[in-house]
Amino acid sequence: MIIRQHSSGEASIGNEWVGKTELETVEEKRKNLLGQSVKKLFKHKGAVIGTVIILAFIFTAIFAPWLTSYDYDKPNSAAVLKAPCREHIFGTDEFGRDIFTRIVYGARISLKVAFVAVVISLIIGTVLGAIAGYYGGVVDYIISSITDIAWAFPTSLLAIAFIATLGPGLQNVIIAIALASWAGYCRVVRAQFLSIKQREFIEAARVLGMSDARIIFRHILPNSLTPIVVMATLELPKAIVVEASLSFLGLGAQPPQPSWGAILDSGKGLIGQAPWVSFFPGLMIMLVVLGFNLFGDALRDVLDPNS
Amino acid sequence: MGKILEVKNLKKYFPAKKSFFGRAQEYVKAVDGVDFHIDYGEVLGLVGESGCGKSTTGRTVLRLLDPTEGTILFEGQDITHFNKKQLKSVYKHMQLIFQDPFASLNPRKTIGATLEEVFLVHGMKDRAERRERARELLEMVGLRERDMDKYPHEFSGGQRQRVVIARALAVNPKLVICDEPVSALDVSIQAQIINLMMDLRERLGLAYLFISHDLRVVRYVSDRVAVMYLGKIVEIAPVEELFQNPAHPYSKALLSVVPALKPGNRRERLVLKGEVPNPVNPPSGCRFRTRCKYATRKCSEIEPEIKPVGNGHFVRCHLYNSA
Repeated sequence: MIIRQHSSGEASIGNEWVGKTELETVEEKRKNLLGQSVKKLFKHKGAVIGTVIILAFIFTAIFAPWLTSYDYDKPNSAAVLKAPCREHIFGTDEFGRDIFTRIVYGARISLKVAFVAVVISLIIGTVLGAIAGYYGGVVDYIISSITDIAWAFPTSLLAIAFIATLGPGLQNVIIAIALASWAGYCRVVRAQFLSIKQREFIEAARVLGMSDARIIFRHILPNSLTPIVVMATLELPKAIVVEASLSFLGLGAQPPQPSWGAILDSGKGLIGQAPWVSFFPGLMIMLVVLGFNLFGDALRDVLDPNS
Repeated sequence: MGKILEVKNLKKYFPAKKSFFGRAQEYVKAVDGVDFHIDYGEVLGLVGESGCGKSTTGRTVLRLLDPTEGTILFEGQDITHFNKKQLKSVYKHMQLIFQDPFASLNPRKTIGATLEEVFLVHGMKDRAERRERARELLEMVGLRERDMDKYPHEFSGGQRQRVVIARALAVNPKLVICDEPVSALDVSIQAQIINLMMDLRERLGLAYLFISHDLRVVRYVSDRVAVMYLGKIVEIAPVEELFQNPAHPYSKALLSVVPALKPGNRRERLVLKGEVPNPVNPPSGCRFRTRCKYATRKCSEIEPEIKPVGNGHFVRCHLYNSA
């Protein structure tokens, strides 16, 4: 921080009462807040490890067909339950399918389901939270009550209940996860709105004749993004786990779709003779969840203005 | 000159305690029957201790808070029950300047964007024109064009207050409600901001409702001053008349603590005893009687009316009823 004294006599009117200098605190130019945060983030060990894992995961999902020469769904009676070797680095399952190939394609399912589910629940939660926080009163009371009820159930339990009504399948898994996990965003956004709408620049916006929509989307929402982004980052691994659990229970991906949870499930009965069938998908789930959590925690630390 | 603003019997109660069924049982009577007017181009100072209802009065006049009772006339129009759309046209002529220049600017918008948005909301479609007008405004308050792309955190408190003033002036208001506009600033910066405000008043013919607890500042800027105590105006008079000749016992005590300008010209310092009573249950009769050394039985029984005592001076006190 530089403290400098400069003459502002030519620029400002009406400062003849007291001296002609204005003691100014000029902060270092920090125009690019985002750039600063990114810099800080990469000094954080956990963030770097997390980022590497997440990038590898996304890369795998996108380039799945180029990473392997096998098909994820073609049985091969000549290679049933082979232990990891040079041709099949993660081994094969009871139909002779390459586990590595199935995991690589499974990454696509995990990523797609988690990402779409988080985006949908984020939108539901943000809209409801914004309405509740901004308007208050009866609207807030109704929305908050529904949120509290939704919040009372564990995500996976609620998701299973939704699947029970919607029927199994990946599309329904997305809907179920989204419907089961919006409550957290709703609470966070509502709390943000309650505190920010008290600030004077919101009163100023009202006195300048701005519409509610403009105040909500242009003034309050941009100032409440930080906790929402952090929360979404930490919700992604949860969604991955819920998708894997639902598929493990046979409610999600249907055979021969290679969801990690489904592969884990198929190896369940063979754990004694072919542990690799369950071991590798389990390891992948753990790694990816760890990666997102490391990254999310670091993001929270970096974006927290009190740190 | 006519009245730009007239406030009659304005009341604002806040629910303090709610019964089980959500009906309010007790109210904080923040503003409890306030009458005043402001002429075109006039500065009315509103002084009082913190918690006496000054800021609530300002916000209720702007309809940021809905009045519990009373009438607000702006340029002769009754705006007490205006809806949002109608208020938008009122806000073209009545604006607000806040106390805290750190909270009154959107931290995610550049100064230029903040100012341009005002023109956009008020229907100026052309982007270049908006930018040009924003630049003119910044120049008017003593900032430079290159400040347009900076964010609020890059400015000092005084500079931010200049931006806040520029934003208020963007709509060409005739009346600006100033809620403690300089209390958060260093003394040297206070003087600059006040001089800027006075200069703009002269140039643009603005009227101010200047809310402050700083009596020196109020004396410097105001044409008339109203003294508020516990939700009511107890005295209102032209500025020098009030400062030379305070009539109400509360005003006398309040003004006696202002440091004298000339040494040796020291007045006796009157120290008030006791605390400000709870605005949920104000004292019967005169609200000031619990701390007034002249209080009689009449003061606890009958609430005094605000009465003229000559020279445009009005007092709410039984001591002056005969005058």
